[in-house]
Amino acid sequence: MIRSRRAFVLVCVFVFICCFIIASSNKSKAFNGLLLNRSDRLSDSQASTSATNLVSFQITDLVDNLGSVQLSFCSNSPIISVSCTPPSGFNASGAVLSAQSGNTGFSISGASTSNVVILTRAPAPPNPDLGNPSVSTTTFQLDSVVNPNFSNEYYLKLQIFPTTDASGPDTQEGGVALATNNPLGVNAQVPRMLFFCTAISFPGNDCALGQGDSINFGNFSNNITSSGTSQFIVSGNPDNGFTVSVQGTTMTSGNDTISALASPTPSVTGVNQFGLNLRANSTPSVGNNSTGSGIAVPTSNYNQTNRFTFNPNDVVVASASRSDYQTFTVSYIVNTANGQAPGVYVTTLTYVCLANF
Amino acid sequence: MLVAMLLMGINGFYGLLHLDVARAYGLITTRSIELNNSTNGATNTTYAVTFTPSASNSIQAIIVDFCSNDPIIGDSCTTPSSFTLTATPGVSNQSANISTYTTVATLNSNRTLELSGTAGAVSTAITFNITTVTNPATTNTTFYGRILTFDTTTHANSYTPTGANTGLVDAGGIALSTAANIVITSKVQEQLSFCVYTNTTCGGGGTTISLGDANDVLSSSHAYVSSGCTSSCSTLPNTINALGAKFDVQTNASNNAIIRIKGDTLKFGSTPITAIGSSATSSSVGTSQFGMCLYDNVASGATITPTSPYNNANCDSSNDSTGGSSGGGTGTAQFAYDVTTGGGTGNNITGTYGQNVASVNPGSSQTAELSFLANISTSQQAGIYTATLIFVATGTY
Repeated sequence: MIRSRRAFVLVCVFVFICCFIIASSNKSKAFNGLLLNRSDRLSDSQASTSATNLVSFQITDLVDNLGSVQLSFCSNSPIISVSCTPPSGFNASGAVLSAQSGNTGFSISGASTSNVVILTRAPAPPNPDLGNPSVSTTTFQLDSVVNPNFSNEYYLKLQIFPTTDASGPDTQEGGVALATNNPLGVNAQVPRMLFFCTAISFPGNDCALGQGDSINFGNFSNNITSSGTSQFIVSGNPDNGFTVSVQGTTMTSGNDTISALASPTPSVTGVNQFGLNLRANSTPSVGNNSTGSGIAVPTSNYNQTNRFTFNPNDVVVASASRSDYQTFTVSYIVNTANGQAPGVYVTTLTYVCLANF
Repeated sequence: MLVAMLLMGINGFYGLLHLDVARAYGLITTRSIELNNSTNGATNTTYAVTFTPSASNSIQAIIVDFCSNDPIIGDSCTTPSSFTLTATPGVSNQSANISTYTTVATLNSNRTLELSGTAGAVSTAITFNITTVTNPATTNTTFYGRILTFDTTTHANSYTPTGANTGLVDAGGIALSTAANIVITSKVQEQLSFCVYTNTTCGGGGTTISLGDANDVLSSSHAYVSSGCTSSCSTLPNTINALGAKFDVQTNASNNAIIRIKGDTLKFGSTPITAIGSSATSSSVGTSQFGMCLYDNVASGATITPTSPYNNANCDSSNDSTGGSSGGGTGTAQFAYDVTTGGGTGNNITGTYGQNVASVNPGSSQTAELSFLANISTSQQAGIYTATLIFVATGTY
């Protein structure tokens, strides 16, 4: 009888201790610690757009197993105890878990819904961070999550569970606020442009500073080559580029003319020659190569050093496409033969820039 | 008769007893013991004792006894559950009339305090604090204090609750109680309010800005800056489109919120207006450039801190000075537009998550202004250029 009483007392004490332990255990579960550094970075904040959600948080309960993570997207509140209203238009049904770090081995549970994503794995304690072993930083990248169809605030509730199916009490939790909004459009127009200016010289390669419009060769000599230069600046954005051509005649004095060079030819004194090119020459020493960042180049007949030519309406410079500012220097040479009729020889040359839009 | 005796016991016995002992001691008045914490079981609680002697009698010691049963002088005293003054109780803040009362002792297993000093007549209020009390273990429970004064320390040392208590000068009882604490819990939910707009306020909306003249046309001889013009807009030339982009943000994120912008430079088809890059650069008229900078435009509220390279300190000067008709963008503001750092998915504006352009600390709503700059070279392809910028705010809670 006494033994049975003692046994009964021992059983009661054992039951009491067990109940106390269970009660204590439940009590600790009821206090849900807060997940730290919670965030959800969206790749796109536009309403109704499929975006990547980079969800990150830190676990401080490194004792309890981590078996599942529940991500609940709600329009009404991030408070765990408040029932969740799915955001209108939000859809995570097609979400893809494309990356995970910190705590890995997760996959999307089939129990997930359009606004609740459950990530599951075999339960295991969280991995402490190497740099800070008191926390376990966890990151999930969820692709193909469709944003709500409104531009406003909505929320993500984060909960971690020791179970694999997000059942039972969570071990830690926390909320995140997100926002969708309209994108910003920036518009501008670039007009069709063609810039062209001619003068004897352009200090600073500036059209506005062009100087002079005539070249005076002075008195011709049959044993000295007369030379001179003029310049033009060209630029434009025609898709098919542009050309610069030269119009006019060779030098004339009444009915007397100085023959133009029909093909690129070296300068020879004592022979009637009128020609030009767009290069830096040494015989005679005249001219410069083009300067500037554009892509226009002299055409082949006018792009030969120490060789000159002139044919009216020839294209002297061409650009295959849009081109930035360039300064071209045109070198002119005149030679005269013995017996060339005296007189004042002149010519007027007109440069024409034609855009090919 | 017996019933009458019981009734007397209830209504008059105390009075009879009191009258009986009243001949031996006076009743202290204006007596109280104030607890700084009424939580059951609280330790190191301070009990502020106050009373006034019945008359100007010479005393040398004070007894304060704590009982769970009643405050009546002469009754037996039961120690309140778990109550203790501790073995070496602390006493402080003695009033001037008992300033010499610095000798502290306990009786009855640390239930009773004895405070003594130099003998002398006292007629005014006596106060002192007992600073080491552990409250009774049960909540919402009444217990009692009994205060007694003695003519000598020797007589006080002989104090017993039910004894004759020779030398007792004055006495009186006080009721005290422990009380349950009220726990008030409230929750503040995570907040993130974010609004991108081009009109005066968020409510005004607007999702598009145009760079250029009145027809949104850029020029190779003139920079155009579209800035957030919230005041003095009339000073801007008519040829400048003054509409600018802004965002309002408010959060309680304890680790701040990051504002990221994702997009591309201005493009016509696949032809870009060259993004300025990751180094803040001044406007250069005639050179194709697209860039931006931003600034916090209000001194109050939360602080929006622009992130390098979009944080040029003179960005706010782009509001007026760099948009002038005589060569806008020649002010001191510098702009950037990083489309390369980290590669295609890296930390640049074209990356997967765009680029961090500002951070915001918790606080009330704040507004940031964005200034966009466009210059073109003469070879910039003709066309209509557009860019779509997505703003993403991410709070870390």
